[in-house]
Amino acid sequence: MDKESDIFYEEYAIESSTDTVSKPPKKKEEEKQQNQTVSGQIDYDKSKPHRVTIKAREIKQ
Amino acid sequence: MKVKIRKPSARISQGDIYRDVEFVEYVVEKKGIIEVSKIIFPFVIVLTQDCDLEQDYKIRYPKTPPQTKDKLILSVLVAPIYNVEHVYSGEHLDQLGMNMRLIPRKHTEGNFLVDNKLPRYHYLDFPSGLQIAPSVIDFKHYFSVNVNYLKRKNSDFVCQVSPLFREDISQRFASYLARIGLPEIEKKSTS
Repeated sequence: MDKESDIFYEEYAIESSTDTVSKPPKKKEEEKQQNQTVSGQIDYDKSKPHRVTIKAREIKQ
Repeated sequence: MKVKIRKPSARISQGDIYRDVEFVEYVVEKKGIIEVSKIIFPFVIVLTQDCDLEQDYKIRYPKTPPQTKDKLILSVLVAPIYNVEHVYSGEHLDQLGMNMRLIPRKHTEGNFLVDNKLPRYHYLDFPSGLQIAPSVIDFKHYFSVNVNYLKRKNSDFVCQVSPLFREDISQRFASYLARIGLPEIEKKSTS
């Protein structure tokens, strides 16, 4: 796939950007234990959808 | 639910499961600052028909130049996969500020969820080799992703649901999407 045909090719200028991940609310201890028992292999918090906001300054040419 | 595991292939297939797929909520520009809000879904499954994906791939990466691009698709339809334990407790979208209703696991509705008798959901149980907890697809939360974007996520390919089982998922999704919501009719008092 060449760069020009891929509209998601991200070489365009992002002068500065900040990623903000919404923080999940703190869990009760008993809920954590229950999750660990059920999961065993994966981190539950990472297995939930979360929102990310990116801010970037536009560069005018 | 049996899940067939394969190496990432050249093209996207129906029933493919990918991790960390982004859904762009909005893009706005204010005084030269561009703001992009997106939701990262830990797992999604591809719902687009496999024949459409195959035709798209042949046109997108042709051996000989195609006469037309009639069969090119603009996006791939996917649906998120949530950990079933989170769905039981209604917490699967709590990091998005959304509290969902409870589905008690030991009651009738919880059994219906696992038996795929709730039209909105499709239960998946993965082999122990895959590090995915038992999960459910939520057909109501379907969305589309760019073809090239998903193609570039080969490293995030998890597995592919076997044929027939994936067709079962798509058929249930189509049925859910085509449902007819009838209005509630007020009962007239007979007194």
